[in-house]
Amino acid sequence: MFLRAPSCLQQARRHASARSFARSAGLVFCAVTAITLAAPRAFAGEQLPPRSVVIIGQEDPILPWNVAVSTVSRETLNVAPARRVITYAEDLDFTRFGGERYKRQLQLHFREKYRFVPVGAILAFGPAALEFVLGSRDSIWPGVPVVFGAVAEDTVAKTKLPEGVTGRTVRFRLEDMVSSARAVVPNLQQLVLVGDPFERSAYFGNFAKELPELSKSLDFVNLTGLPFADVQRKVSQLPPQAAIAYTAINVDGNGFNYFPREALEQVAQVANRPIVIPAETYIGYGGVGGMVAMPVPIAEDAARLVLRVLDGESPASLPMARGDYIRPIFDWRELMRWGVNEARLPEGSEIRYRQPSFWEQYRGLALGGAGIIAVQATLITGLILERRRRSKAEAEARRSLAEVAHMNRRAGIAALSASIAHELNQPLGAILSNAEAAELLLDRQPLDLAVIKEVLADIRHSDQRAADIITHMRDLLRKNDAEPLEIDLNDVIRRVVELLTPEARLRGISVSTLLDPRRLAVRANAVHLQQVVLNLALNGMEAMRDTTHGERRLTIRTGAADDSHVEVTVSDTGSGLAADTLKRVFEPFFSTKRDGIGLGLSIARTIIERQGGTISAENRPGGGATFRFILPSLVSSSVPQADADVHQMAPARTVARAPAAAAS
Amino acid sequence: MTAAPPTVHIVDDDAPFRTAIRRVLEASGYRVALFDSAEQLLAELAAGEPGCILLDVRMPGLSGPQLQERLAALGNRLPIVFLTGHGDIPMSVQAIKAGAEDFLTKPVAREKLVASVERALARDAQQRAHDGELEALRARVSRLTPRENEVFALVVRGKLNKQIAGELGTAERTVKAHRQKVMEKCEARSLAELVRMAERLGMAAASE
Repeated sequence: MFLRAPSCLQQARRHASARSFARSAGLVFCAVTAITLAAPRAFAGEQLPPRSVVIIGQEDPILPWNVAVSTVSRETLNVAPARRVITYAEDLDFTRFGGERYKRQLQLHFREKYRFVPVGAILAFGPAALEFVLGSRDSIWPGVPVVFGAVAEDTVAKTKLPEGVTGRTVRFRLEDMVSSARAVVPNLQQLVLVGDPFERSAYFGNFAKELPELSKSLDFVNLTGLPFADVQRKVSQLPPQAAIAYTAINVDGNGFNYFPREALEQVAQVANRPIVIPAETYIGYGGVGGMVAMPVPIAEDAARLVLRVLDGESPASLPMARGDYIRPIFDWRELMRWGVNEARLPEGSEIRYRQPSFWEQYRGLALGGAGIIAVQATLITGLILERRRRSKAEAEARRSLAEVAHMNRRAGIAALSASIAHELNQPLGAILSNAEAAELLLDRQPLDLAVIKEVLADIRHSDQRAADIITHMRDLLRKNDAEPLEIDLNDVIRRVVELLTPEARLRGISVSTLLDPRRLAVRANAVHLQQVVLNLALNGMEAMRDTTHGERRLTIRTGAADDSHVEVTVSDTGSGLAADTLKRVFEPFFSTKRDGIGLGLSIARTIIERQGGTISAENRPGGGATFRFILPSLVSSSVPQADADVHQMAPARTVARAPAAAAS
Repeated sequence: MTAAPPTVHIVDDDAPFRTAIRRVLEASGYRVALFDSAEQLLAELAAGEPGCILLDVRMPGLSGPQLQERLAALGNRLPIVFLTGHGDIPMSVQAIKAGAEDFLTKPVAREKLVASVERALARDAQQRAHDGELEALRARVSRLTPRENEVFALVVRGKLNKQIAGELGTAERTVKAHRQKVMEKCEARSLAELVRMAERLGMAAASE
């Protein structure tokens, strides 16, 4: 900031007002200063205004607003301790004292009080204080620059400011209180005005002028100037969509003095609607908040202007301006009390007295703790879920395979049911007839015991035969998802062939088995493997529907695929597989049969793959198809059966296979 | 004609069952012949032999119903009793329609089996007796002269001698003589008996 020497005239006037100097040094000093404009810095102190300021407030000095303003002003003036500013405070208490006589007494009092005090600037807060200063300056502090704060814009506008006066205006608007009330009460229909009458109010005089326009869109109930008891009674019975706008009650309708903030508290205690307020100093005393004027920036701005003046700037070069002192501030407790949605408040609203939640108080700690717990919990949950999901999925897969496999076995049995029933009724019929024949034979004389014995032996054989059929069928029909056991692949084939033979015979199909003479041990579920073979065999039998009678041959072979695998092939002399069928034959629901559902082969594949094997299909060179599955063999597969010829055992490939009788 | 005892022909591919049925029937006093397939029966069945057939439905080669068809085509009218391990209604209906005597399911109780066999044999015997009577009747009718045949046909339709004479263009007296001859040759004691004979021979006896 650059300095300018004040004009000689000003200088002279100032010195004239400072009578202690005038009497002693007189014009000589002034002349010296005037001649040597570029005086050495030793004289600079005299050239600039004295660093002393009279701060004048218009009200009771202990009002919170005034306390804030005067405190902040002094602090701001003395931001640079090296260049101290002496401050004097005068509070005029115009709200309680007034009239021309009081003002004259004050003028006399100040003139005497400051007669020998050099004053560099007057700092006036509030319109009444400014008015008093402007009316008294010439008699008390002639020519001393005046800086004002907290004066309404239109108050300044209607006052013709003399030279050497500048400041910052503030705009208290009823409109702001209306918008605050609307924010607090959605669908606001009534705004109740509580405070001193506007015409007597130092800061809110312009509210009266705003009223007519605002009344067009809102119903105003004016309780200003009423006796306090009336106000209290009325604010306790307001309709739901009303709010109260409290300005300040210094003196009520009965002439009683009030401390405005305490009056607010008392109103708030009985009010049944929220109260919007115009000043920050009211926050925390029962008002919900609103667009409030801030005493601190008001004081800071004004004090900074004073500093510039003290540093030599002319008030004329510091134009008056409106300060930005209105902020949306609300009391959290009141917002809660009235159920105000924070989202409705003006943008950038400050919420005070928010009771910190546990979260806000111990945020860091909670966050850390929760974080650790969350991470742990997530991990644990994840692991548990994963485990559950996996075991569930496994169980599910096992169960559904078992279900489908069982269904498929039942379907297989159903396909064979006619022949199985026939097959079963043969021995049953033989038993019954033999028994009846025996009864008759026993009545004969002489008894032919040899024949009777023969009959009884036949009964036993037939019974065994029936039992075998039932056992095989029951094995297949049982819901068998037992753990895999070590079994001989050849046994599997034998069982299936027994089941199949009657059906094959009926269809004129000859079934041949070429079984490896060794025991082909695999670890598998026997019933599932029987099912695979049964499916492959039924499939082959079905494929031979159109084959001429003598040519229908189903051949099942077992053997070693390599050193560690055993294989089973099921070949037919049917129509063979088309190229695209060959590719898709193991897909679920793929079927070339008119009434097939296409699950048999896909189940076969599933079962084989679950046992760690593979299954494939190919066409035979001579016509028909061969299905082959390979399973890992158990070590014991190389152990010869007790009756096997040791020479036949050596290399798996060269084992001679005895073709089973292919007769029908 | 023949005094040969009736034979129950058992056709079943299942040897133990075949044997059991043979035993029970033999013990019940029947003469039994065993065949393990339909083809064997066709090859070995003696023509005109009295008896019946106990026939399995499902067999490799020719099935029971196929054999039934074949025998019908050959004019063999041996009554057939089907025996099946697993029969269904359509199959049995078809077999009965095709003239089967009975349709039994295995296992079959002796009582039931014997009753069916009895019925089948009775039917066979009746058929044979009927066939024998008809044979004799035909022999008698074959002795009629052509003119007598014409008179016979008109008499059994209920024509009066006068009407017959008009239709044949002869004298009523001549017709009367032919009629007398017909009665004698057919060994009929009355007109009613003559009409019954004509019915059995399939001659239309309906009145106009």
